[in-house]
Amino acid sequence: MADFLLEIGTEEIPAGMIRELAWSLADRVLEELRAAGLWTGGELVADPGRDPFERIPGGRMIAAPRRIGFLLPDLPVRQPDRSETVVGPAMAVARDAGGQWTKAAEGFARKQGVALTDCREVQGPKGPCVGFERMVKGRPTEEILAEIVPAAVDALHLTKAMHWGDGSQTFVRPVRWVVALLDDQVAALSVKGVAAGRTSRGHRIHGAAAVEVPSAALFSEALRRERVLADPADRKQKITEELNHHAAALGGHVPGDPELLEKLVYLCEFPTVLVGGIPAEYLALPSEILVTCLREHQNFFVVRGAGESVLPHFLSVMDGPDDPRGFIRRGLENVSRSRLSDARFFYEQDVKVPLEARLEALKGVVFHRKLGSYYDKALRMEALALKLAALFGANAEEAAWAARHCKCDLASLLVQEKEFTTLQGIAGGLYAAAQGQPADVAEAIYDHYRPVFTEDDLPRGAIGISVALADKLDTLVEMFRIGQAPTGSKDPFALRRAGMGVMRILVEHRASVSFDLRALLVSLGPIPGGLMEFLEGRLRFLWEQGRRAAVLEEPSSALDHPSHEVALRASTGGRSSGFPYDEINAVLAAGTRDRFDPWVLDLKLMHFHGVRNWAPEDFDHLAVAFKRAKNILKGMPGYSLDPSLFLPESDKEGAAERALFAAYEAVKDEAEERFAISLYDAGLLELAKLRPAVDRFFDDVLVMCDPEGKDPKKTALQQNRLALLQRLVALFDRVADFSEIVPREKEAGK
Amino acid sequence: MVSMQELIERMKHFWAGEGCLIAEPYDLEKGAGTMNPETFLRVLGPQPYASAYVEPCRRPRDGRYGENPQRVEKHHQFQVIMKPSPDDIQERYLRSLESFGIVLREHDLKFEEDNWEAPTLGAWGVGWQVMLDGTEITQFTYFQQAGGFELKPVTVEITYGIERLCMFLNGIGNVYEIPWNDHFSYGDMRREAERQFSVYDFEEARTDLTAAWFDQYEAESRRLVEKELYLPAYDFCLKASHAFNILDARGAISVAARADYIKRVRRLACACAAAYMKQFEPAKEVARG
Repeated sequence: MADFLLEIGTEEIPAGMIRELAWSLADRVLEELRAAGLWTGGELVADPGRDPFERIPGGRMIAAPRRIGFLLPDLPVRQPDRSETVVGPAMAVARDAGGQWTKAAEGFARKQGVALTDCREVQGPKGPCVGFERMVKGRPTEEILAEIVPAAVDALHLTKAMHWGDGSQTFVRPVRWVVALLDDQVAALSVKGVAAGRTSRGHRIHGAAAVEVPSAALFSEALRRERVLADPADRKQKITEELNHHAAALGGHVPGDPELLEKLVYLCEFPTVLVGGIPAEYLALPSEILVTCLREHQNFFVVRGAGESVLPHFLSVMDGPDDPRGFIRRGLENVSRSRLSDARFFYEQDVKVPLEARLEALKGVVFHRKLGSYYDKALRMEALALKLAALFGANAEEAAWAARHCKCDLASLLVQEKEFTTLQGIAGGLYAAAQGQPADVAEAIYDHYRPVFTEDDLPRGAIGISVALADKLDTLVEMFRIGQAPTGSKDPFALRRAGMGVMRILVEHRASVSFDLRALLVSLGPIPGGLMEFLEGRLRFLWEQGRRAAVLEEPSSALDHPSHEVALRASTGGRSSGFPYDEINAVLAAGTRDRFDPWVLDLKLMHFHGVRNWAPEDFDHLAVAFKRAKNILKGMPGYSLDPSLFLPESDKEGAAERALFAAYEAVKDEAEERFAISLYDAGLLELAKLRPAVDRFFDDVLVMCDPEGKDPKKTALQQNRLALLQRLVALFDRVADFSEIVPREKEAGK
Repeated sequence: MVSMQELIERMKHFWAGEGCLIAEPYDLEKGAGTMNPETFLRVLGPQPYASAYVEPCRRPRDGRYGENPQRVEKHHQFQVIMKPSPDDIQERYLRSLESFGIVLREHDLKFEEDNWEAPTLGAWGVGWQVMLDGTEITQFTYFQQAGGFELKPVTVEITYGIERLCMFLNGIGNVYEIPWNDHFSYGDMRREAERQFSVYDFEEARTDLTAAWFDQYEAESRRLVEKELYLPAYDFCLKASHAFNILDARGAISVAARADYIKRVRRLACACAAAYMKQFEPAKEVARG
């Protein structure tokens, strides 16, 4: 056994790509080693939040600005020998009637260089054949690595590849050295034209230019001595500990910022946290602007004290062990002073200009070449926000004002600066508040881009929902109208995110209500082709993700409608992978024919899911029965039901159809009442009572007793039975199309 | 203190020692050292080349009437190009910083991804902005394409902002306080020019005239390139590009028109590059008559 170390030394790889490249490289090599019989250990963990080598004790990731690679423990030094069956012609031609080998068999043996006495009957892919066993000697691991490592590097997906030097090689950045060791021996291989050796390089400034690595296992230590922490987990830990240490010493804490932390982990080979001062005169800036300025311009963390106030210190991460003469701190402070001074200038100028006064300037800010300016968009949003405000019970005048002015900050000095574009909306909200607009109007402007990312908060109040929805729906309708629907990986206007935002607001917001989204869109004009399907797809995607399940498990969340709590009790909980696809299909199939009401659809799905977990067997049985019913009813006109036409109780069929009708009558009103007040789960529990009667009906009754319509008496009987099934299906369809359910046992057996 | 003049001397001295030809600035207005034909044309084609030069760069939109301590209409770049890019180019670059008087051990240096693109030149490259204690001091680029041509061998381009670096070396925050030499400051040399050109760029430039010039320069460039006079043709391409920059600073170009102007300049640049590249085409066997 030997440990294998691979380090591909490069010029600085972009911080955002390092992890993915190192992970994919290790993953590909592992996969090939496994195929070659050289790896039987665990797999890499894909979750970015965890150590990729969690399941491979002794393994390490190498992923730093100037190097990617890995340490793999305990590789056999050569492949095991294995026996292989060589298959020749079929027995039918290999042996004659007398049981003797034929010419064909002789030819096979001669070609393979074995004696016919060593051949025997073996099982070929199409039946018995002549064949023999032979031993295949395993190849040395080193030889195999020399093939799979370069191939794995070549196969890496590069979002932006480059050439250098003579232009003969392609990679993310120039490859400058390669270290490949099997224990203490150099493995002969080369990557991108660079032959592997044992000489690595230390930190660019604080380490040796050449570092001899004695053995694979000693790589980390050898590099650490030369100020390189090659494993990102070590760098992350060092930064996190130092951030917490300094923050505590300053009497505050550092709010989590995983994105910035990750960036800095991959911008440094030997990160050290340094404390600097924010000049007091800038602490009066709104904290959003202060924090964005320091974060976007300079990758600084801020320290927050009591009440989330910003303390007058920043934490920066430098790539090196110390700041011996204080030059670094002073340099950073100087740069931040000039940046903050710009930001304050922009803010002070911006606040002086009322948002209303910027409407004119919005005419010059292009939304889309074919769709005019943001001024045009603001007017459309205002009209839409008025309709939404009526639905959500928001103050119409305030919602309209917020919608009309929420884009005005696009014409402000601050938001026009590259580093502050992320403050769009937020800046407008701050200006509105500073200019004396009502708090909920300022809040609505501040929030109107939300949710920006998956875990982002939703807009706060009813005005906020109205404006945020108006913005997103307007973008969706208009972009679809001019044929800009997202396709494949192309979504330049982030319409998928907008659609997701719409769905999250409609189903998760505590102020959301039931209404027909399709009717709302129709009121704006013809709905562009594909938009309704797109929106339904977004709702489906939201359900398929795990996050809705998390919402379910937390009663204190936005879902505090009384009937949501019923679902909560009924749910088995603990799911992390979203709702089952068949339940989603069932609810969408039945629920979007006449109206598209995401709030109600979501409620139906949660209740349906909860009750199904409550009574899974009943649901499976009902599903089978409904598939049959749907098949029978396909293409049938509607029939009317006449109880007097049922066969007598004494008849087996009559008893079954009477029993089903009686059971239907017994639960129908109760279920309808529950459905009418959105207690879908309670209604479904009523319907589940029908299972025995439904089962009995399908066991005992031949519905299509007169398929060719020859006997008028039988035809009436058949139509009466169809009418009964139609009523039954219609009742269930109030919540879900049960024929879409995939029975659990069946699914498990697949 | 390290004066501007002294810093430039050190830059030239260092890169001459690395084998670069020390060229002079090109005598036309341009927005970046890359537009000097010494870079734009020399990066094309197979022959090795290495040069370094100071390039004054005009960016009309950045003018601030001589009143902003960090933004100027005209700044100076020190441009280094080497083809093919040497394997140890980053180490050479770090040595250059030490030779200017920066003790790297006492500072924080990061190579942060920053891919460069010049739409008016049909050019792009891959590289970094070099951050020293949070200040961007250099743009470091491996050229991948210029004038619409894929580049092989690959040229590396190192562009130092001379004013930025000089301010950093002297620990000062105001560009006008840079000592040009022992007797004159940057302000003495440049402030009045900054004021006058800001007035011109933002207020006085006649947009009708400038737009007409653009059209004329463009036509002249196209006429000349057809006669394979790619050097004068490229001069008119640069003039057109600067006319566009002035129109832009005057706010005379709408968003839609902007993209169109950029495309027109790019066409000129690509045509010049194509004419230049003809010399490297394999000689055709001529057997006529």
